[in-house]
Amino acid sequence: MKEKCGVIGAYSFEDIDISKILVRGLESLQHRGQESWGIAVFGYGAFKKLGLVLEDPEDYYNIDKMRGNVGIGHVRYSTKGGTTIENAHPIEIGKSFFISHNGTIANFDELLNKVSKENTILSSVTDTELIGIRLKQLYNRNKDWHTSFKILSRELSGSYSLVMLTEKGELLAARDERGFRPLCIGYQEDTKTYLIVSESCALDSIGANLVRDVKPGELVKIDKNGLSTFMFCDNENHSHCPFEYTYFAHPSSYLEGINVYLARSRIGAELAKKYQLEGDVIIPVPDSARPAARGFSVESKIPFEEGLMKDRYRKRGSLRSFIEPIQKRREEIVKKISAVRAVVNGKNVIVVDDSIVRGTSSLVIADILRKAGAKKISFVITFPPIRYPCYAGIDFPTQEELIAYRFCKDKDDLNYINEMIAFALNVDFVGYNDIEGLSKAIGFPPGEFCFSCVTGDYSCLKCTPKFKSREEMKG
Amino acid sequence: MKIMGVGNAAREHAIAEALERSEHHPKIFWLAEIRNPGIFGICKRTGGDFTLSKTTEPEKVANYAERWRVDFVIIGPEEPNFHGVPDELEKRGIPCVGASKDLAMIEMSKADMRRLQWEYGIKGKLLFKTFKSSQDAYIVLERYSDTLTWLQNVALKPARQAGGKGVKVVEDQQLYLHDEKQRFKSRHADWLEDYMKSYSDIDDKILVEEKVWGPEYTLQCFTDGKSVKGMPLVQDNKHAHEFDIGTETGGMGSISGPDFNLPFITKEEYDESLEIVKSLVQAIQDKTGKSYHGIVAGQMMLTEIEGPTIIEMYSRFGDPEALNVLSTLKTDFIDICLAILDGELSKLNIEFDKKATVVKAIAPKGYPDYRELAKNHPVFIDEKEIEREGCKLYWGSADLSEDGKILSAGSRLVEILAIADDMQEASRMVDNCIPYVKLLDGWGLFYRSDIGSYELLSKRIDVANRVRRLYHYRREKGILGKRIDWLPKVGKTDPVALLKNELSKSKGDG
Repeated sequence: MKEKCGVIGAYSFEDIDISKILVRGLESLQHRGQESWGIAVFGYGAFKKLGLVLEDPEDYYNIDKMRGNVGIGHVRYSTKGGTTIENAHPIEIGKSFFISHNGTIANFDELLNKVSKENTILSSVTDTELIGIRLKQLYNRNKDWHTSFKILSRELSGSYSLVMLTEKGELLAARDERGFRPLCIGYQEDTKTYLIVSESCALDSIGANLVRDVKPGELVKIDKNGLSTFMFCDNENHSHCPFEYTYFAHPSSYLEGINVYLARSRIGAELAKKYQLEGDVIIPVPDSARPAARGFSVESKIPFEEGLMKDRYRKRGSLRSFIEPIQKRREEIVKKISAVRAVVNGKNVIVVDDSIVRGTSSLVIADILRKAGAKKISFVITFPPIRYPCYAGIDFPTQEELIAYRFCKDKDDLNYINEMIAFALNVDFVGYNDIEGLSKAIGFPPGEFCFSCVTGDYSCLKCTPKFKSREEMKG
Repeated sequence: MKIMGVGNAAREHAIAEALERSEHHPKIFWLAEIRNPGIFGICKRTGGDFTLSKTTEPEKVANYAERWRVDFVIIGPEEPNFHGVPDELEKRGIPCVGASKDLAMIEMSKADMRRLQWEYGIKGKLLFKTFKSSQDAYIVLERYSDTLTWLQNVALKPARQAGGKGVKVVEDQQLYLHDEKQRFKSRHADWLEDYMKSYSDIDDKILVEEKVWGPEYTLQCFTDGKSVKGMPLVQDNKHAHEFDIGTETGGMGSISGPDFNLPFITKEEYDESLEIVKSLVQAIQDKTGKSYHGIVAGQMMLTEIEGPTIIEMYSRFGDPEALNVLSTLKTDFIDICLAILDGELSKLNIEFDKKATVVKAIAPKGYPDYRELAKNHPVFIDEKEIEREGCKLYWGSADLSEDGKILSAGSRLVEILAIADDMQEASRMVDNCIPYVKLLDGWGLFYRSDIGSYELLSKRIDVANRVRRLYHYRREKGILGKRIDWLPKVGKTDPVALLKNELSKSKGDG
């Protein structure tokens, strides 16, 4: 079971090798998952690999054999389950029904009980498999996807952006009623290809237009009659993930109509107003914090410089550390960041980062900057303090590993948290964002977001999850 | 006064209605290929007559006009023009608002229209090539497929007007799909050749034009041959499904107003577009020695390379664009027709209501790709409720049988129009009427709720702004309309000069 991931589905009304479009899209969703990837094409089954998309030149030959006009694909970063080829998506359920999932099921055990009453299944089932099996049960009973999703949405709590390829060669896509994870529809005019992708940046690289977001609670079906949509659940209350805006999504993407780059830039500007800091230079932690640092710099009129460099030419140097599954590898990537001495030496440095989760990378960065001669180090963090695990699709560690929880427990005073974390990181100042400031800068009221990792209030997931240890999660 | 109309779509229903509104209180007669319930009703109400007949046979149409002793005839669709119906009527001394066969060439042959435009140096041109077989087309497309020339990104069209069908734009810009795009080009060329077999009235079969992008709009005009008077701009939405996806159709709905122009086109661009249409009317009159009296329309696009650009010409009103303009027309439509026929259009002041209009077509599922499936479903429409919502219903592809039942005829069933102060309001008004249109056998209908919506309009404005910046830049630098291609071993070439050269040579041959 695994999933904070990127999904893609494509259906062409022309005779075109959809696999080419799928891998092209997956390449530009790579920032959503680096562990494994896979595609399934109607009539050809699935092809899955560990590692980056098309890392192995042999892959081109394998992809080339998969000729068909409809298929789905997935890049994976695990929230549950280990990094094995068996856990890679798309997952085949029964025969020739494929499913790819971005999200996490919060009431796994409950659903497992329900499913095993009707079918005997292995206990090692992943949450995506479980959704798939349940869906097939419901579909066999109702012979109708719309009704099946209506029932499933009542049984399921958690986040799911799904794309599915059915035995009949239909492409289905569904987004949970709260809209935790993004999903959007695109169209490529001359190849008459309908696309369903996690983020619009994939549409740009495919050469397709963004049509619109899939609505929370919407089921989209594409078959030979074209695109049809059904609302299987009409929930006024949405819980979009703010972490997508600050860290996860690609800056060029549009989520719910809002461009990620501009949102980050506004977040930076808001923070500059909130903490009227004095400093000589603003430097971003590469890469996701860069637009926010720029926004901070424009607002505060303190110059923006690239004081930290990520060595993207080294092996694994350009990968994202947060989504690496193994702590050692994570640190290895962080260590491939170096300071530009000429920029930071003797300066009062304001570092802008997207978030502090475990604190590992912040500690390393503070250390690097100090050694490069920074006089004073302030951290400005675009995401509020994270003190609770995520059950909606982001792989935050267990509560004990979260630095803000370790040092501040349940104390809610932001000034107190700022001071404690500054102490913990051994820097001069830490300024976290708050829920109101972040929501305002993105452009929605706070009620439109899921802030369960900040507040510990899991009501938007319809259940109170039992916090598990990392070993339990990763099985 | 007695007037005869020809044609049976929603456009003709709107024409009949505009005639009926006139102070002249005419008796309205109609010739059509299916019994459109709306036009049928108007004919009965005004004491005229309605007859089913082939509308593309000049003799037949003229016979009816003589029998009914009508004062003049107005032609709705293009095919009667292509077949010389206006010519036959005039020969028999019956005035006709409609382009005669030679003049309608600007619509019938997209290739000849383009040649005329280049010959007379009229603005808003596109590079083009014509072919008599798909083999010829493919050889050329293949030869240039790996070079940086305009032939990489092209629109493949039937060289003759074919009801808006068969246009395929292939943009060979993603290297990873290069082979596929090449295949599309050759396959579509084959398809076009096959498709054009049913038309023997022009030589060219396939038209290849450079691919352009930008917002499209329709400028419909009245003309008496001497002056050309523009109507409010309208935008049609060709795609079958919401947010411009799916197959292209004859038009799923159109918007206009609120102030004569469209929100994404400037006054200057309107004037330039009108100038282009005027020049084309003059050019075709000059070429044929005939006088154009009727309707002429430019299906235009704002492009980065030329600014306002002609995509196609119409020798008649657009459908559904006719509904937007005729419903807001304040001047008596018959007075306009008479001025067109008398050559006195310049003296007439033509006025339109300053309102926004939205038209949405409702079509049975199956349209446009599987029209047989969309046919013969019994229709029920609550016209009273639609009226109560403040909207107007126009019948399109619907057939009224002898026993009073109405059956769908395969294309867009009805079009509903709303007039309001702003476009979003008009769009909402039409959406409220959708439940009142039903097929009694439960067969599905579809329409586009997004036409006239804020979201779609914002998209159009955004695209228009991007194109405008580009063509303004070109104009400032004095490079508007210039193109450069790059050929290996040859280097920089000027495709405009090459095309002009080719055109003058072929003229010499002919």
